[in-house]
Amino acid sequence: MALLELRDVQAGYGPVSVLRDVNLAIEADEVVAILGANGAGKSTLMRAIVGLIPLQHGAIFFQGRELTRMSAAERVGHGIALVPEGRMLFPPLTVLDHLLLGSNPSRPSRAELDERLQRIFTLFPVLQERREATAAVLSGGQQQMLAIARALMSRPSLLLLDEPSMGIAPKLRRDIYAALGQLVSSGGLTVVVVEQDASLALRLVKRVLLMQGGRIVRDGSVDAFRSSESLQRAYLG
Amino acid sequence: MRFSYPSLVLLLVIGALPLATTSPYHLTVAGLALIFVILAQGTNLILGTAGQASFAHTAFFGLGAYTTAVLSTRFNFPLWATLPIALVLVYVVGSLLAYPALRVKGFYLALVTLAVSEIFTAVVGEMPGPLGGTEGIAGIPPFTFGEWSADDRLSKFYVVWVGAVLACISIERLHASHFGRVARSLRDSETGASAVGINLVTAKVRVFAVSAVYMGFAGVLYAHFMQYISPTSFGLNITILVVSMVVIGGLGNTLGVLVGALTLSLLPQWTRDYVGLEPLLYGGLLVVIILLLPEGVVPALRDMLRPRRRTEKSS
Repeated sequence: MALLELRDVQAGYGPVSVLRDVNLAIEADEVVAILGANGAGKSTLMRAIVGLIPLQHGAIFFQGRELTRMSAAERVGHGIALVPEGRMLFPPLTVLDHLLLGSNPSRPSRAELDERLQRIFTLFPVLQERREATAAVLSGGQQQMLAIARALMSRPSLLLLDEPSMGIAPKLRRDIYAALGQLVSSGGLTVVVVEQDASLALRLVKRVLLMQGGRIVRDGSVDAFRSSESLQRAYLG
Repeated sequence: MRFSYPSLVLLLVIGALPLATTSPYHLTVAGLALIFVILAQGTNLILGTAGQASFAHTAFFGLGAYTTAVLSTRFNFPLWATLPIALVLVYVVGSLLAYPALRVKGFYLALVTLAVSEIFTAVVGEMPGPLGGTEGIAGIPPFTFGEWSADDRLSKFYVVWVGAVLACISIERLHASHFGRVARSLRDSETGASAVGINLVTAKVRVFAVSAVYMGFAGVLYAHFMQYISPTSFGLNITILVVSMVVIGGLGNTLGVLVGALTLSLLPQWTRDYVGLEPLLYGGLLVVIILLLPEGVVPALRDMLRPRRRTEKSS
């Protein structure tokens, strides 16, 4: 049984459909990149999975349970966490406030909460140093680390990352991907990443989905992607 | 206990007022200012902290006042019974109103909630029976706890002062709690809030209802402090005045709201010689603050002092 399964999914905004007939199965512990041009439907797919937009048609299953009619809040409670495009942090709240909010859906005990915080601070030491700073005063890279950390605090089984390197200096992008690499190698987490910087994403993932016009037009391994000259030219420059 | 020192100092200064004067007039003005502090803190919770453009506060203020007034004058209920009944009623009505009202946002929410306030005063004014119609309800008993009754103005002032202190402490505690974090997340990013598993509808309804409880509490205190209420005590001018207090002090800033409420409540005492000019002064002050200090007076002062502190440290 796939961890996440989408069947004939059609979704969009109001009467407009952005996603068309999307069928997809992702197994537990897989690390998948979704690539595509602007407007291909990558972010819409993420929003549909996490429940931020309703489906116009089709169904979504997670761990065998149908999510289609569940709210976004319920989906987080079932183990899906999104790091949204643009981070969507709360500027006046501190780093610690964000982490506590992130942990809430799973209602951890005090000891478990401390353990999760420790794990986050090991992964992103700068967040421990700046735990009392508000999100408004963090740098772009630190904000992205916080957005990822906030999502991880709910102990998700599936982590969805929407453009995690957008607007961040190259050095910090590498730091963020290094942290994601650590997370993936420790196991127990399925990751789906939407990324404009394909070369960065391909170092992390094993499987690549290509989206075009709201459809998944290609689904294969990283090796297959790398061996295709036309794809290399189109996405890696 | 987490409570900001400037807030504490301000409230202690107000509490020490009877050391300077025991004039019933001054104590009445100060008591009303403290009631406005509670009303403004409740309004700030929904308007400033959670960022929901709700203007239904005077309806809840009035509901609290009328509930305790009717129960105590018509049915001889004691305060220990009318207070919880009023607060529960305000919470329930607030929750029920929030479900349909919060389906709309921004300008539309402002219009819907403003209409609720206006409908409340219109309905109360048209019901002469137990609600007293336009003449209101007179003869409301003063605050009574067991055998003790706050018969004089000084005792009433101190009951209201204790109420304001409790309201300010509890609202700061709320801000620092999970409830406060959720409320603040609603203002800044609903997508972000959904992404961390916050049920937006439930969260908005809770914040709306809890803020209504503060307004209802202010209403209960007002009824027993003034011992007379009428629909004009809960009119549009009060709605605008309370919003001005929040905006001038600083949206979402509990200390700012305290300062804003005290300033605008006491301002008429300094402008008494210019009868009729108060609306112009309020309006002018509001325009100046919005143009020059859009975040409010207290956040602006805090930002001005911050770099100075750093410079002092480094020098």
